[in-house]
Amino acid sequence: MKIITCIKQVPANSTIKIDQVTGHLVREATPAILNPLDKHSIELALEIKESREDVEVIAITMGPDQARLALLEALSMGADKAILLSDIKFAGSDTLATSYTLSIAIKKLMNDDDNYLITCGAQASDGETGHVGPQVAEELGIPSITGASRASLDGDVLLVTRGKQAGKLEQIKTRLPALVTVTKGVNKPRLPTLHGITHAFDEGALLSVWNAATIDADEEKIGMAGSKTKVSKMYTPEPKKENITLTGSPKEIASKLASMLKEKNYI
Amino acid sequence: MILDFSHDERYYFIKRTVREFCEKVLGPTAEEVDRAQEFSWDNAKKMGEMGFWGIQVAPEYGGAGLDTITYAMIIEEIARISASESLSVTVHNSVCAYPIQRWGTDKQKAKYLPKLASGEHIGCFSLTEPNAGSDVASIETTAREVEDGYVLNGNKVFVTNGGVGSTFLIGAMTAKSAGIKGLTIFILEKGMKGFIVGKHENKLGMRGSNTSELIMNEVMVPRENVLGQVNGGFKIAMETLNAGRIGIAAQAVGIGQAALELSSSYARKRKQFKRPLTAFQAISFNLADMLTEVEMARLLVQRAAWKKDNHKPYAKDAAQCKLVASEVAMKATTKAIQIFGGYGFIKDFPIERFFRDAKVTEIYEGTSEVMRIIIAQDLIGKLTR
Ligand SMILES: Cc1cc2nc3c(=O)[nH]c(=O)nc-3n(C[C@@H](O)[C@H](O)[C@H](O)COP(=O)(O)OP(=O)(O)OC[C@H]3O[C@@H](n4cnc5c(N)ncnc54)[C@H](O)[C@@H]3O)c2cc1C
Ligand SMILES: Cc1cc2nc3c(=O)[nH]c(=O)nc-3n(C[C@H](O)[C@H](O)[C@H](O)COP(=O)(O)OP(=O)(O)OC[C@H]3O[C@@H](n4cnc5c(N)ncnc54)[C@H](O)[C@@H]3O)c2cc1C
Repeated sequence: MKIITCIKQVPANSTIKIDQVTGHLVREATPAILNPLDKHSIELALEIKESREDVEVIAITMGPDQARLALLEALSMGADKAILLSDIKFAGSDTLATSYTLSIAIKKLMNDDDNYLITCGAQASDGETGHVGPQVAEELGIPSITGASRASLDGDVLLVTRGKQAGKLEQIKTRLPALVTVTKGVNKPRLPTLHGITHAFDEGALLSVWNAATIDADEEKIGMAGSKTKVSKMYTPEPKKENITLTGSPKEIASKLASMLKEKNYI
Repeated sequence: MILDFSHDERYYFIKRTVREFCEKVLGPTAEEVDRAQEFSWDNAKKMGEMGFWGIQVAPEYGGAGLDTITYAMIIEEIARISASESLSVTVHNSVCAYPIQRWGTDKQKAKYLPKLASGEHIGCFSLTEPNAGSDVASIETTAREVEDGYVLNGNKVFVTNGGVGSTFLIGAMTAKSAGIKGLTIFILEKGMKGFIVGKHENKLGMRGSNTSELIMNEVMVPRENVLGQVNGGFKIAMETLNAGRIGIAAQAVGIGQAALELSSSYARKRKQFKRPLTAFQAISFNLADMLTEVEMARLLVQRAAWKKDNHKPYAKDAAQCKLVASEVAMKATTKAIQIFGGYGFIKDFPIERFFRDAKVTEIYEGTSEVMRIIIAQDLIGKLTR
């Protein structure tokens, strides 16, 4: 079976720059990292792979050429293969176009074979919509379970524990093919080893680059043309409230703080 | 392109990954490892999973097969967090695994390298004796030829990894009267009859690295355990130390880097006379000097490593980078403590540990005086040629 892990390269969060004219992220100017939750989603794929004989892990991303590094990171951790979906025609994709593009690439990869699992992060640290996972599943017509805090695969049954409101947990089962999106609690991602890194960087054949033609994309559904949402404005919100500085001895400060918190019913 | 100071993506990715590992795994235990003066097997195992015990060992023997520039960067990153653990790693890699890979027979390589590369076996290299330090020709350990090998007798001191090692390269005299032309390197294994570990030294710094005495009493070593040629040990030892010095220099750069980072962030936060310490020129100029000197030392390390990787003579370069980097580490840690003031002198802050760790980089794998002898000989040799 195949486990396809969708990963996204995101700007390292402390350095995000926004183009004041277009309202878009200035991606070239910021150091890029692998979306933190996607490390957990890769780890989940690798743990399942290590628990059975028949699994191939494939990392896939849609992004510019520099997103190659995110795929190399997945390969360094232990993914078997990687696919970069890169084409100037994909530029400007919103979550709908992104999901369409990913889903037809996955269709091509699976070639009518239904024996697969898709793992995603619950959300990306930049866009943060959490749309892509469930939308990919929708495009493929397969079940999706979001926000997993635990996940395992028994035969072809995916078992997921996820948080509900008020600290309650629920367990959901589904048969493959299926898609799961994961949260931080699901596992502790491994670091790549020196062997893993040299293997990933030195074996060029592990990484393939696909463009719109490779996946027979419908040009109306990709990139700017396929995007139903348009970002009208992006800005850093102004802080609305004044800071309050408490003075006095530590004891006085502590009791003032306690009564303020009580006043607001926080404690 | 005449000169290019950039590295490739792989280099930066390794650096980022190694840094994350060191900060997350070695960082939290560094103080305790120093205090307890014990080699941490737990950390050794985790470093083994990362591949740190076989950084330059060829992939066919289970190593990562990386070049020396990358090797030096990894040692620097480990030293930046836990200098004593970088010592265990660099000695194992550069003066045990490296000479076996370079001069070993196929049989020796197949037998020793895989276990060294995984860290299942820790490696040592031992020349120093009570009466033979800088002066290698005075080695008194003897190797007496018998029918199927050699019988070794003698005492070695100051053996890094001695008490935790399984594979030992030992220098012994096969022809005592011939001086350095009578030196041979033998591969000894833990548990050989008559081969025992003596005293575990109590040290000023590098306390998380094990330094022990080794005693050989009629140790029978098979002929197939001679590394390279009989009586050819001096050349192997000197070339091994050239490689080793790049690792020690990288370690010193890591110590200097740590001193710089710790003291600059402290100086930014600490306020006196209503201003951060960085506002005082006396402090900021010291930080500027530290940064410049650490980078200077790093460049010398990279030049020596580049020459080694490109099979050019590098004995002088290795001596230069070790000389400079170890002196920079001493200066930087001394200045760093001054910047911390009284807080630098107490054990609540890690800077005093780096200060203690720095000193020995001027001593082992050849003292600074010996480095100057090597550099001067190279210079004078060229003048008279
Ligand atoms: C408000 C907003 C602003 C945007 N701004 C820009 C912009 O400035 N520049 C621009 O180029 N695009 C922009 N986009 C569009 C687009 O690039 C989205 O970032 C992208 O579709 C993913 O959405 P997300 O970041 O919310 O991911 P989420 O849906 O939060 O991501 C969840 C998971 O989906 C998977 N995933 C997400 N994206 C990809 C991918 N590309 N390849 C593979 N797997 C993926 C990962 O597993 C990830 O963990 C914006 C979208 C929105 C909604
Ligand atoms: C923590 C630690 C780990 C070590 N690990 C190892 C190891 O793994 N393997 C190993 O074999 N050894 C190891 N050593 C030993 C180390 O390499 C020696 O201590 C070093 O080579 C110096 O030798 P010595 O201590 O006998 O000093 P000496 O040789 O006695 O030198 C004393 C002083 O005299 C100076 N001096 C000596 N000769 C000259 C000269 N001709 N001209 C000018 N000055 C001179 C020296 O520079 C030094 O300042 C280790 C030492 C320490 C402290």
